[in-house]
Amino acid sequence: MKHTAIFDKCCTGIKSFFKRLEGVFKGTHRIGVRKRASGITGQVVFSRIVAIVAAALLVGLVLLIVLNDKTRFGEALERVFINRFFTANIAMTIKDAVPLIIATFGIAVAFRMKLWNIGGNGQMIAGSMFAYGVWFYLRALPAWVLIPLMMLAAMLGGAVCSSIAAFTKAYLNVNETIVTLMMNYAMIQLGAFMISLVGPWNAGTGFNNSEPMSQDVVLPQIGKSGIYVTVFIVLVVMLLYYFVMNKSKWGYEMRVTGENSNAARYAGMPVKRNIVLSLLISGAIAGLAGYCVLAGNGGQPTFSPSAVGSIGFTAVMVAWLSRLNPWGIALMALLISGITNGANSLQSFGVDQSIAEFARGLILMLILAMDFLTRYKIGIYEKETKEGA
Amino acid sequence: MLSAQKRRQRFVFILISDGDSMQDRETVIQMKGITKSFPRKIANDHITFDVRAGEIHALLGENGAGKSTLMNILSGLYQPDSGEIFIRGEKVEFATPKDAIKCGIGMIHQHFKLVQAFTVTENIIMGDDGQPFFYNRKKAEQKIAECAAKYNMDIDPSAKIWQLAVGQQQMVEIVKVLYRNARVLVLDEPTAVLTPQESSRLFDNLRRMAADGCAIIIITHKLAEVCEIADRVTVLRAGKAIATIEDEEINYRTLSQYMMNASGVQEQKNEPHTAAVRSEKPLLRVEDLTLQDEKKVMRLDHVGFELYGGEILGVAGVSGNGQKELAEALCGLSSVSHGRIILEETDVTGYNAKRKFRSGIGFVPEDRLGTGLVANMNVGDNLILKDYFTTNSSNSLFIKYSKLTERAQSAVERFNISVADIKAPVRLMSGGNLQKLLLAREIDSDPKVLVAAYPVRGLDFAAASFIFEKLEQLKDEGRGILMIAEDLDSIFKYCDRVMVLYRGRIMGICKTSETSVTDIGMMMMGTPMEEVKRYEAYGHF
Amino acid sequence: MLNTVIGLLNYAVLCGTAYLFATLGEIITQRSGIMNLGLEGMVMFGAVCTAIVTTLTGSVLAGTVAGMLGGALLAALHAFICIRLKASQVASGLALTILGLGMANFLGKQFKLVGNSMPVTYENIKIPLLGDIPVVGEILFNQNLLVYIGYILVIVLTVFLFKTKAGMRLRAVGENPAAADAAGINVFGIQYGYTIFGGALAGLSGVYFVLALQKSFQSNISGGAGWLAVALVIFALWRPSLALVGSFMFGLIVSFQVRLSDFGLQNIPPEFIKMIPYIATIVVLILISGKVRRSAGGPAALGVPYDREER
Repeated sequence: MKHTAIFDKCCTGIKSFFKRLEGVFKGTHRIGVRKRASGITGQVVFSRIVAIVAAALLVGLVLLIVLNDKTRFGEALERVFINRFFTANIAMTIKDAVPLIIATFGIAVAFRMKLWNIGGNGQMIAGSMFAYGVWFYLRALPAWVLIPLMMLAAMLGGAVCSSIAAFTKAYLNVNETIVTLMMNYAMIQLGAFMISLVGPWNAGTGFNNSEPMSQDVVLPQIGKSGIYVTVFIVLVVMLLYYFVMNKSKWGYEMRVTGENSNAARYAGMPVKRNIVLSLLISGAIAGLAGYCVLAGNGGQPTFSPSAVGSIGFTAVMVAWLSRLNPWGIALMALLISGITNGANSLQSFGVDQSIAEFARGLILMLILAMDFLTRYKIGIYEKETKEGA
Repeated sequence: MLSAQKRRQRFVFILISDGDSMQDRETVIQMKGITKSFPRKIANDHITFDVRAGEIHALLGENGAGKSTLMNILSGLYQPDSGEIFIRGEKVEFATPKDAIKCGIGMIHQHFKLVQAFTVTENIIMGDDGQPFFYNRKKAEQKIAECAAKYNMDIDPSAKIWQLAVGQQQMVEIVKVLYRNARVLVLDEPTAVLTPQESSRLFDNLRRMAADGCAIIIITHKLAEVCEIADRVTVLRAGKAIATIEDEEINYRTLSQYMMNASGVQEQKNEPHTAAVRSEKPLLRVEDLTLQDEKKVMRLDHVGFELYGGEILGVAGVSGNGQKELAEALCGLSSVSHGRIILEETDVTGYNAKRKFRSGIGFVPEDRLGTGLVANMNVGDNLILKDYFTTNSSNSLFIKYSKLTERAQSAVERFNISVADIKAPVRLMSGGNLQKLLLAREIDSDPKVLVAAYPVRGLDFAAASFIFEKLEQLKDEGRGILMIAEDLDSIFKYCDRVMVLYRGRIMGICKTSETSVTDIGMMMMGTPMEEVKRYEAYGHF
Repeated sequence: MLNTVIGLLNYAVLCGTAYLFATLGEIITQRSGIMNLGLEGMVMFGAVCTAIVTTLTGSVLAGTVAGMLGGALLAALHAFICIRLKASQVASGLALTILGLGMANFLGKQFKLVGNSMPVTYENIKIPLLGDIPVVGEILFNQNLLVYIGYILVIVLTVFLFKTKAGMRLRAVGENPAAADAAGINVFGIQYGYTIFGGALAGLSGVYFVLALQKSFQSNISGGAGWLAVALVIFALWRPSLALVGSFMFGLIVSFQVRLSDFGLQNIPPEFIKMIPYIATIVVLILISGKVRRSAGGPAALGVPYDREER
């Protein structure tokens, strides 16, 4: 009996589909999009997979054109999309993902309140700047004092950087998107000054470099795995984010204020204070990510404003695309880092290193485009005019 | 009260000769057998409707009765499933709004479609295809000034929209359609956003236009206004045209009967029952509350009254006469420049929203999803909106989410809220359920006084009854309830006393058993209670 | 001394025009309600397209067209994602920046263009009568063709925006798309069209860097011009005429920073001067946030996607 019921259902479903298809030609139906009530996880995963496949196709196409040795095409493609995830090289992916994940959580904190903090780059630079400064001027102190001090300084730096946006948004309703954006470039210049030939931190080598920090303040790897201890910072941030956002009173206030500031006021919540706090904390966490870039990721432990790259922008995108879900953030950050890292290593194939940025831009663009599928359902609908009454 | 036509005849003494009766006028619009249905319901069911030149014809009905749909068909936005439209005797079919505009039909929407940063002129000509590439500002301004002056409307074509008051913005919308040579105007709930003064001015303008031969259709659900302005009224209910009432027979009682009752003429005079417990001393005392807005208009004008425990005090009045300001002042969302609010011997005037709530003043706002609830959060999250910081819902750092689910369950059961999924965002809930949720939250906080603004607006009969039941329960428990409502029927059914607001001032407070709908209607129009009493006694003012 | 100043100002106009095109393009785009933060990507992508085509064909015209097409292409992508797919405009713009920059660097390196000088470029043309005016003539009218096109473009766009029906419709869409839609204006068509136009102008900025200013291709040749253009739009209060003034001011800052030693100010770190445009923009934003805002602020519906269904 059950089988016939399912069979019947299928038949009616198919019949109705064809009827609607016929309707398209008759003009009574149209192919269109309808908003979904809510994005279902299955849909999200599906759209991401589509995006990745599309990215693979496009990158493959590019590789076909630019590779010197065409026979290595398969190998190259594998390097970008598989190697960095399913082999021991995942350690590289994790290493790269660490600052991105932390920065994204920072952006997510602001996002909860529907505030766009796209100044991640600047806040990270400020963070690494303050941290480096602590080492530079206080290097006499023992390492076990310096390291936490540097972390705190980094958070302070990030918060200072975002403070202008925080207060102007809360009290003057100035557009925080632009203010945080502008601070990015202001910070790049400030940092450039600090290490320039006339700047206080110049290493004196004749180039615009700063002195590398001593090894005892640089955070080490975990054994020989290639993953740095900074990964614990990620875990701590993730846990804190989850508990504060979802379980705490303040997280509740933030969610309400972000969704509906009128309701927040009606409930007596301190809206302005929360805006300021949210942006300050956002900056602080991004600053912490900056610290990781400086002292904890296997790179040169010198201060350089360009070390941050475009992590801040990528963080905004990851935050938006993962809908502020902690696991989503981690996964997407890993995905993007892996692809970028893999593409980076194609140098040995004769492809220029800058394909990494290209690949990163491509995958972001595609995920963004495919995200459409999660919010809207494509189907064939009865034509109806707008509903009123 | 004078009928609208008689009033107009006294007003315009040049253009209409006294002998002219409404019946002689040409029928401009005729809609026959119009039917329109949507997937979920039938919006218009074989409606026949006609409008004559020079008349103001009101289309009256509750929310969802089908008024807007019918007018959307007339203005070319929708196409009817069946039925015909005739303009001056000729059959027409409108495929798009532009067709309707060409026939001289102009629609003025409830929500204005104006660009705030543009001038009046720019707004009016921006859709005009007839303009040359380099539009001629002076010429357009002239034409606009002419259109406006024709009906004595005072607008400056070079003024920016954001500088204009709401009433003037509406005038711009009207001139916009006049500019395109409209002779039929359709206004959708025109007074919804106007102050009483602006409404008067609007009605004057409309009378002038009608005197000039324009046909005017007003979509409304406000009985008082229909009585004031309409020459004829067509009542719609549930998609059907119930009746068309002429002139002399237009009065409050007839209209409300047609709107509410399935069958004609019953006179339900239910009275509110008196609570067993009525407090001796007033729970809430409001003294001399005064408030001015940024434009120096008096919103609350020395308002003073007392609310006792065990009673429901209704606040009647055309919306915009100070009800919103009173509610916000009482619950702490806005502060007053003068006056006192005393709750059970404590002066709570200066308290902010949070403190007032904690002291025991509950508030059910009229804007459910906009202010009272967070649309994208679920039932539980919304329930704790006002007490999330108390030990009831949280400890020092965290919210007790497990307790929350219990609370949500309990509230859903006790208040008969139907939710498909208790974890789903509340914006998916119907109006009735939203209101029950709001009420659940406020009642659970055990308030001494509850301020409810338009608690049953837009709700169907079953939901409304339930809400009133709960309010009466509260009353029986000895609480004081201030109910702001527009619908006089509910006020008479449920309120022990009623207070009428007009332009921020109290026209009168009396027991519902000692007054009548007509009296309240007069007070709502601005007649103070003493004068109303005199009219009652002597038959004239 | 006077000659030094004139030289500085001349150089300021030269540098400033690089920002002008992208700024004008973004003003038009934002006037239609779309925020395009991907300018930097479009400028760079336009630059690399120009470099490739000019090197291949030896034609300045072909190179210019190529650059504009490149910018337009990316802008079309942005428009599609924002309008049709209704994604977040900020997110799309940022993705485009990363993509555009990535493509520019990649193509530049892959085609070995980095560091190459361009075979043909825009050279200075002195305008006969106007160029002879003392001081002003030397600064304004002894420049390359694109600068003059810049002047004309500013005038054309100003007239277009404020004096023509089409310009008014564009502004209407950016202020209140619902009202425009109700008046019969084609909202989506306008948003698509002008966003792509804005991208073409951004590409033209890229062309300028490659063919007129640096006369070669470098990675990051634009030096953050796209971001400066975003700032300039605000600085210019969304008006083309002020964009001209602003571009020259920013150009002045850049050229001043390069020529500090001419003025004996070599002790001031150039980085601080480079910071000025960004700080100035923040200050402007604060200033227009108050009562002044009404006449000076951006289009009311900027960044808000228009959805007909939502009412």
